[in-house]
Amino acid sequence: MPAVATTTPQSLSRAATAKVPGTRLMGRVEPYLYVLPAAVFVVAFLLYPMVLTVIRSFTHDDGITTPTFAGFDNFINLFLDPHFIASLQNTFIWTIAAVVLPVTLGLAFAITINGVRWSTFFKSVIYLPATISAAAVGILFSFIFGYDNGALNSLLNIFGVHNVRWLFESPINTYSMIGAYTWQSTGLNMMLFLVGLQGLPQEPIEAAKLDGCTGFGLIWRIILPMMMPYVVIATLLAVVNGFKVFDQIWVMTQGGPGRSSETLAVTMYREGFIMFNQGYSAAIAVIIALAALIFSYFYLRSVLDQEKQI
Amino acid sequence: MNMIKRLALAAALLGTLAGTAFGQSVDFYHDKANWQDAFTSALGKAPVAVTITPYADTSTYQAAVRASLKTPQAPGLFTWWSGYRMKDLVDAGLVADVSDIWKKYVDAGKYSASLAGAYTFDGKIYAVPNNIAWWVVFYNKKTFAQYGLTPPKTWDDLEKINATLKQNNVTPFGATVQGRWPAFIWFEEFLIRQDPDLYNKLMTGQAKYTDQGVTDMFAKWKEWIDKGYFTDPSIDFGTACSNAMASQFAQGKLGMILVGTWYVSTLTGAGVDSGDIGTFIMPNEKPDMKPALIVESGPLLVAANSAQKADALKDADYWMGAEGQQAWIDAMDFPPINVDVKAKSPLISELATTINGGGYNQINRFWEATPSDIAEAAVDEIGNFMLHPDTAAQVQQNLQALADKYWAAHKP
Repeated sequence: MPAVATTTPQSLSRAATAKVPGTRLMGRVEPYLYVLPAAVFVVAFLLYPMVLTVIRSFTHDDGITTPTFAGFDNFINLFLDPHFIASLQNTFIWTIAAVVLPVTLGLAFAITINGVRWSTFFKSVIYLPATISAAAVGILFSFIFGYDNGALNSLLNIFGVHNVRWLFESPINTYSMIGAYTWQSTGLNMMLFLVGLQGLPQEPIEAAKLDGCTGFGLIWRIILPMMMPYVVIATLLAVVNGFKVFDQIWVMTQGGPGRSSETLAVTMYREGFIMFNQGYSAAIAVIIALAALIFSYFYLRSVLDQEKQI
Repeated sequence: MNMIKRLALAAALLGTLAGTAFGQSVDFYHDKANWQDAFTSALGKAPVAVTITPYADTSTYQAAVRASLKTPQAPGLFTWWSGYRMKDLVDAGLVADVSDIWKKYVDAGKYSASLAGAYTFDGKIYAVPNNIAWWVVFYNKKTFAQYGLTPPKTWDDLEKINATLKQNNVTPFGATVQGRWPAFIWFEEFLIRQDPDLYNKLMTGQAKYTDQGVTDMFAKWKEWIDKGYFTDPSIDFGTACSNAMASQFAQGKLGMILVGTWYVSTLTGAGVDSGDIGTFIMPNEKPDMKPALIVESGPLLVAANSAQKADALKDADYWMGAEGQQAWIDAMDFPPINVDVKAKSPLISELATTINGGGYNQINRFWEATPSDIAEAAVDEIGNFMLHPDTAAQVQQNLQALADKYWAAHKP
């Protein structure tokens, strides 16, 4: 019987690729071709506008005449503008509220309704507001907070409380809008925490129960520490969203009355599209982006450092 | 037919189609979505077909139009705002001179030359009129009849009407800060009822917001607020979600609304029968003054850089003619401005007779009469006064600070 020649897979592949010119180059390039459309999209609609915005922030630009170089004038004038400082304060209030209220309520709802009867119904009801746009929420709550015929004032009138200017007195207008924002955002946080709860290992929880740890103690000492990665993500998202909040404010008060409820995003929009100070508006956009990036960096670094120590 | 002839025929057909597709229609942009059908009707027989594009949001509209004006893709025709609101476009050379169109109609006696005032810069006219609105007082005839009231002829008559309505738990006037811009409505009205010259000087930086005349105006305004002659300024006006002001007017809880003549459709939409809507022009506080009223003049502009400019000028000419204007007035019931055009409703017809025959001093609205840098910030300050009437002195100082900052950098 003649000997059967054997070849290894590597020798086969070398023989195969050696026969087709450029195949090795194609093999290296091919993965990049798959990501190219997404990369072009990101560059065209994200990176390029970001670079243009940064450049514009160093100019005086009204959108219809040739921009002129302004150096750091826009940034200096920002911090000298009392309206910008007030806007910055409002943004901090929004950011803190966006973390404390929707995240805490979302966590509380998730723990409360996880695994109970009718949980699907409760999840649907609490999550439903997250499916409508922020502008629609603004319109809805404008009806609720309306002075003359608003639902809330009509209800309060029954108990002898006079009409309240929910959207036309500062700072109650900011707190009213935060209420609307919380109503919409809680559901999304709840879903995130439900995913986390349902993925938790049950052994530590069962062991804790056997040791007599139940109720609030079980939640505080066992469940919450295991949920920390989800809390970190939810908090980070809440902070970034708090910085960017615009739609509801614009629909409900347009940042008024007297610019008292403006946040950075509203001020940016006003300067760019009402006053057409587009260089100034770009400077505000740069400040917002830097603030969100710096916070995210230090926050994540701090959390990751703590995890390493554990 | 051989191949060459077939190719030549195909090229000729394609060229004809291309000629039909490009350069034979004018883009018309506007931000008044509920006027879409009216524009379509008015421009249906324009010499060059018009493609009308509505924008739902004013800020988006302004940004889109401003971004396009430097390019050949700019719309041939677009609605805008007069006075200072269009001055920056004129200064940047972005809108076409339409003085020749105006000359044709003014020389023929079809238009009053004074109507072009709000569109005139350095002796040239840069817009044709889209709409004119007179700012008058709408009153509910049923409410007035219920309390034995008739339209006032003097300021004292007006004060008596206010007192009578208030005694009967009817709020005399609507006033709002909702939407920000309405805050200027009563500011300009009180001022022209006391001193229209001061108002005109204030608009162009030749008087100060801290002048005694302005202080007196705020004092009168505060007096009316303290007497309860106005709705709460947080009331909805219909510029945002709901329209509590029009609803209260319809229900007889609110007696009068000071607003532009374009508000009629809002009132009828709130359930007021058109026959129950009456109008009068606010009397002057000082009886020896010439009669006056605020006028709002909305322009149509032709983009100077647009590839459609030549066709747009033809359509602008048609727009000013009797055929285009009659179709527009019939659709919108606006005051007619071409002498050959008849008003649609008796209400507007009576107003036109009163105003045109009464020698009224027609004064440009605050929003356009003063630079937008001042106007946009001023309405926030004036709104603060409306919500907190004890802050008049501080508001005046803040307004003057705005004016000082602007006029220091710009010539009046």
